[in-house]
Amino acid sequence: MADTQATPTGAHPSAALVRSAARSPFAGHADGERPNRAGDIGVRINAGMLPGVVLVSTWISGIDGLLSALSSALGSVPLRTGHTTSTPLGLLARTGPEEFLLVAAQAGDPCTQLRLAIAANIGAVTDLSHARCRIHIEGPRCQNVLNKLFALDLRADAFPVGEVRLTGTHHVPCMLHRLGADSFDMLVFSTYAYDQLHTLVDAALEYGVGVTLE
Amino acid sequence: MSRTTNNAGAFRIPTGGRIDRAQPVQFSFDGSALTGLHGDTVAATLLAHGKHLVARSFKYHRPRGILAAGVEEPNALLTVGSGAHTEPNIAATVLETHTGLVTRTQNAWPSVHFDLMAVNNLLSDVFVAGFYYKTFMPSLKGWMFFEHFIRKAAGLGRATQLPDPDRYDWHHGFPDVLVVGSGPAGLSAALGAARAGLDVTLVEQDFALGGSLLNSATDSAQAQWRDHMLAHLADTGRVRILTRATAFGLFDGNTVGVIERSAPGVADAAAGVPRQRLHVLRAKSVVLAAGALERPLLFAGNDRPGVMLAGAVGTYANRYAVMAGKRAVFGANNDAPYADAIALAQAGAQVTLADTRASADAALLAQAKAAGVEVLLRTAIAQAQGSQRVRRCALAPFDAATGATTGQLVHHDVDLVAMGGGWTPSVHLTSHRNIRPVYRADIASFVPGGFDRGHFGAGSMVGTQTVADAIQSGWQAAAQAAAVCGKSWVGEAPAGPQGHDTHTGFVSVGPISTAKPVDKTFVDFQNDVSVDDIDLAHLEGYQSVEHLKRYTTLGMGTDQGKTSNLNALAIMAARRGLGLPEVGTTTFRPPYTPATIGTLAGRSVRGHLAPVRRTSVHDWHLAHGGQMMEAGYWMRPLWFNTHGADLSAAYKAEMDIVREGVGMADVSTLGKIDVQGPDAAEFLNRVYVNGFAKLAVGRARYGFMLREDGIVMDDGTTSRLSDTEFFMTTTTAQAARVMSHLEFLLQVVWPELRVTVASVSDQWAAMSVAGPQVRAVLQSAFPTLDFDNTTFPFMGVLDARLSGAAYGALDGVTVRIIRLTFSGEMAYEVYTPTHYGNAVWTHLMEAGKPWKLRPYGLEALGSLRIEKGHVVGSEMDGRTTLDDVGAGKMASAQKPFWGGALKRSENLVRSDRPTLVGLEAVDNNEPPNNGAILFFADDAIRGHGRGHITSTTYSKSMGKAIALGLLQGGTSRVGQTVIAASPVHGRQYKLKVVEPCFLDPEGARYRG
Repeated sequence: MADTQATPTGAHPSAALVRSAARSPFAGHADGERPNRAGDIGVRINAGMLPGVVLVSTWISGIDGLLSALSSALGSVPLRTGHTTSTPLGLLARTGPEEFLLVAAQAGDPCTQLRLAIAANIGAVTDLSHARCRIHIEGPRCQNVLNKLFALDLRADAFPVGEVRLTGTHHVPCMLHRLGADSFDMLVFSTYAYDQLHTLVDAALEYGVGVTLE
Repeated sequence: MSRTTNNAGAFRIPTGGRIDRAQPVQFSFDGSALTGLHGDTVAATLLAHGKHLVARSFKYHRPRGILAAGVEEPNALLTVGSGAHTEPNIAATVLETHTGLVTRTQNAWPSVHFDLMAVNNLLSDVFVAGFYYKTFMPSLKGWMFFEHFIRKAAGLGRATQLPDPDRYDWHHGFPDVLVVGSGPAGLSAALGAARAGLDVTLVEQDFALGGSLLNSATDSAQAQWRDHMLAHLADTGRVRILTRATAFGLFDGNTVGVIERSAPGVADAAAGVPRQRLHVLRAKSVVLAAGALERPLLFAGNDRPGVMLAGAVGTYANRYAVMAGKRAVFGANNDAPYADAIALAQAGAQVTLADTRASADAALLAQAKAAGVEVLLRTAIAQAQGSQRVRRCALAPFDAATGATTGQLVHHDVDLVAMGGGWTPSVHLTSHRNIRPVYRADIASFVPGGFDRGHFGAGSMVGTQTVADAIQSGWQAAAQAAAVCGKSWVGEAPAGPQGHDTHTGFVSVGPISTAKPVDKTFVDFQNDVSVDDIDLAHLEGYQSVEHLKRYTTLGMGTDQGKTSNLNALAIMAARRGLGLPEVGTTTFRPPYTPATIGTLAGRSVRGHLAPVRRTSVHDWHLAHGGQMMEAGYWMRPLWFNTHGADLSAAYKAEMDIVREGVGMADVSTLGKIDVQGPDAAEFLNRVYVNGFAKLAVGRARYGFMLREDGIVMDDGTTSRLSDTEFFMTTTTAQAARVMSHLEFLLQVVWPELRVTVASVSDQWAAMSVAGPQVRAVLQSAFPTLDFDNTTFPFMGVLDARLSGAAYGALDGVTVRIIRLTFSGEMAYEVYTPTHYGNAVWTHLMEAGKPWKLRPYGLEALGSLRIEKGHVVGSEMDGRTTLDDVGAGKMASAQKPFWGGALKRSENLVRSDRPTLVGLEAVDNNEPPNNGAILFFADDAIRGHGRGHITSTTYSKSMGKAIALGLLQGGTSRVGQTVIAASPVHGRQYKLKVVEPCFLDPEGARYRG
């Protein structure tokens, strides 16, 4: 090969988001406010790319080793599916018995950092930074809107603040992260993201909706 | 209430009712303006104006009036709205009046007053049950001819053909306790559950809460009790109330489907406000308090307009302040109709009550007398007469011992006949859970035969006889529901209303008039099923209730036999000499009341029918003439209008671009799976039919994977990125299936393997750059990378981070490049993280300008691969084996693989299985139809043939139409001529069998 930029293998192409080359899947979507008939804005939506998302997983027999490696690397790990913990790299959510999702708080290269911390015989580290986008929704009617799309119990005792739930609409997966009583982040698949936003805005029309794009 | 001062109808009672006399409502009925009051149903307004004739019957076109006051109404069905908003078969008894409402009668021509189709009634002795079967079905041709006329003559309203302009929506809810029904039992249950600290949803199909309590006078103790309960419910702050909301079905997992209708004037599609909303409620516990329904009495002429249910007459008087008639005869076999008769008498009507019983409650008799109701014991209604309105009613002495009327008929001039034939618990919802009703002899009624786990019943639905009992049972159900939710709170049930508590009226069916019939006695009003029809069915051997239903159509239609079922069962039981328990009931299925298809579809219509998946290059395609098509959920460019005026011209031009220059296709839709772990190579070695254990790092390999039954599941290319990591690509269509297949194998079949799989389909955009000039383009686009044939050979893999000023905005962007081909030309697949997809694509387009790099679409992509004989989903159609698609030699004999065992099963190795061949047009350059059936040259063109065409195109390289197909004998028939017949299109083609690879079988073009 010509130089070290072109490596045949092993060197993983994960890296911090190159903003100059990135185009948001939400590009071209309408933004602005559409009050309902009473003039209210019942929900506010903000949509954009994420600075980094990394899937960390292991096989059935590997969870103890992975927990140990993650603890060493990040300080703490969520012990139950649906729980989250804040780490130096960002939010770490446990999305399954042997699966975690790190949502980076800021631009960087969390995938490479985690690959250094988690050996190949301990678990797998997969860069999903471009595979997920974020749609933030908040407002007094946001639960009404979400319950149009997701068969998910959003009551506070079933879905406490700080936790995540894997759900979906139209068989399209989505991870919901509850930030507050009426404030949620939706992590949606990038190729569905534009349509998901379109659907969400449509569902919110009767309550009045304001949309901003990052 | 103030006295009525407007034109709200001559039959409007001056005081009382749950109507707002200050709010007149004007709507259209058959083109005439009609004034009602806010709080009316259309039926109430019609009766207030003395309009009883509002419909014609289904089959005989007999004049029909308003029978009931609720969802059980079989007759008074109207068409509502106009234009695209037209909705037929809406019961006037549940339709709220509002200004601007447009209603009209249906199933009559030219009008319900003079309906020419009423000639059917003159022939009603001919049109009995089974008439159509016997007369028209013996000859299929005859039926096909007559069916059109029969269907035109029969029927209810007519639906519009226009697209529905309204909006519908769904809502998922998760209450602790769902209470269905807001009568005394439902209100009690809701309050009990709320006071236990639970989140309660209370659904009521009416637009007002109260159920049967609404039918009592507004100044009654029952009405006051209702008001107190509503205040208590509001105080708890835990009860979500849905009115106009019908629990139409019970489903698995405590799921209850509830359709909520918007209040009049609220729906606004443009503003996002739905006309109806489907609530999918998954409750921890469900309390069913669905109430009971009154039955008609069975006497000749009981379907005449002006013959109504007694409870309905009471409801119109008390709730809507409407006298349904001024000279009325009530027929009763229980206590309940007394209150209705008294209400009407107190409104000023002349009322006679004929009670078949020998005695009645003394207090009731005293109240009736005080109200001026003439009570005749041991008396039954024998017949009703009249045409468009009941005019006379004949009463006869009734002998309880024989169950027959005796003696002389006594005729009464009337304008109203009220039927109080006893009440039937509403067992529909529990039946939805496949729980059959059981007969309770003590109340002579079928009640729910049990409840699903976590479900409880209350009120008259389970056979409580009084309001006090209903309240108590609701409270008890609340305590049980609370226990299911982990609450042990048990408070004291609210006291019931003061005063006399009339029994609900659960009694045996009957009597059935035995007077000499002067007219038909109807059992099912909506389907024109009479006692004679049931007798006939019995005589002809249709003795099972299920057969009876289907032979006579009894219990079908919009009312689903709510007023008719039990009467029919009783008649059949009597004819068979059995008791009701032995006869049983038919099966009630969802929906309880009619549900619009729009509501069930919810928001999954038009642009929201299915999710839309867009590649990162989507907008570029649109801006550059891409003609998009749906490919699964994906939107993909089929062709580019910059290359031709139509598809046919464009795709051929795009094929030329790839064959002669260089083209680029967006292949981001490919499935991509990250496979990691120490055992990843071993895992892939088991998944694929060919070997992957020794695949070198930096190399890719094409492979097939099978289903467990030996059938081909998918093909694709997998690249080895390191000792422990692989990058798998799948076909677009099978991406999700392959992913779940791999998950299944790891979690269930080989859990010992240390491997993980993750879908990275969304992580990577991909573009296939192909053509003789591809190297030059890529070298120009990526000057720091080396595309030399020796350093980057066929099936080589390269991961790189673009770096340097030459890359401009792409500095720092990563790419993964795999050298492989689908088109048969030299080609590279360039992958880059999705958000960079558009930038890398435009960068390549810019770099490729000197070589005239152009995009190509899906049609050209498919045609190029046909020329190469590459198989896709058309060939791997879930029925073909490796040998069938010409890939048998890829299967390793050195190692086991998934599907390998059954791959050799007898049926899969039959010698006559159709296998892959190429086909060339002999005398016609028009591509044969996909799916055309293949026949040998000397075959008769009929039947299943010898195979079929799987893919077809026009090949510019070959200068003729070509195809791939599956043919018995496969390539052993190369050189022979076959016939491709498409009976659908009425076409036949003569084709020559050739090898499936039409172009460059040695692979010189892509290996060079």
